[in-house]
Amino acid sequence: MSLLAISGDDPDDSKAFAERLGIWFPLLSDRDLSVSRVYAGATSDANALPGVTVIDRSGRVVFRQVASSKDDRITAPALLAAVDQSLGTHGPDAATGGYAAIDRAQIRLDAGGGIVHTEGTGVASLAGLFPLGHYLLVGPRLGFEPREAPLDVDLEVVLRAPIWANAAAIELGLAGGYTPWNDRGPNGAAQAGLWFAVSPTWSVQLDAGVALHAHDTLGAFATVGIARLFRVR
Amino acid sequence: MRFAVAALAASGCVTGLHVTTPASVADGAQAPAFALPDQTGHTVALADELQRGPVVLVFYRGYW
Repeated sequence: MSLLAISGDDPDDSKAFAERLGIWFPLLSDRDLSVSRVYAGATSDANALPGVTVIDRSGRVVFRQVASSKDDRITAPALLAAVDQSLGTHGPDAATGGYAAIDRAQIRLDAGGGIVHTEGTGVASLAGLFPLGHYLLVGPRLGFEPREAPLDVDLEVVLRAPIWANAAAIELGLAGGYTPWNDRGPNGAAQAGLWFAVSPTWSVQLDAGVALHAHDTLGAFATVGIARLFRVR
Repeated sequence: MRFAVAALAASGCVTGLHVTTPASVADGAQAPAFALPDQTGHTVALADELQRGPVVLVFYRGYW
């Protein structure tokens, strides 16, 4: 995300202002206020109105606020909340209505390694998880393990404890279902892990756990995965 | 970023306002393109910034 501050100052004044306050982001000079007039409006004494405009990456204006008086200027927390809400970024208790990463549905792809019958193996899974509040995800899961269970068809439930301003969570996942081939019969798995959003639309998760298949095949596994996040409400 | 926003919001550049001409941009509209010089003399174009991600524009009344 970029921050651009715009005023009618000339670049030399902006430079002095930046040096005085230690500002590192661009202070743009809109000498004739042509840009300010369009975005924020201007006063009769040729000053730009103080205001904030948030533009998403597609170039669409998603939030605007223009001050009508000295005391009307948007506060920093309100602005950060507006940015969180309008861009789908996450923040402390600011994002509501499906914008926060933790409130989004997930399609997870995980892969890793494990041990079955004292021999190493690979594992992978694909899951579609729907959020039921901050603390629960549920959805179907397909598991893959080439030795004993080339396909698990499961229902997965993830209990989670949000941390780090809801941008991450400690998770406990439980999956159960049916394995139609090889080690045919019911299966179950339990895993614990860490999930964290790297953007409003992508997350990463690290998990370790155990899996039980019919005929007493017990395996242990560890995985790393990514998830695509989708707004659902 | 958050510090920067807070610093700008706290810098108190707002004073009494006169009669105003409202902005012509509306929520949901495409943001009009612009390119303006920054404090180091480099020209910053909105389109270039959008290539890298979302943009927050803060309009302030200047250094005085």
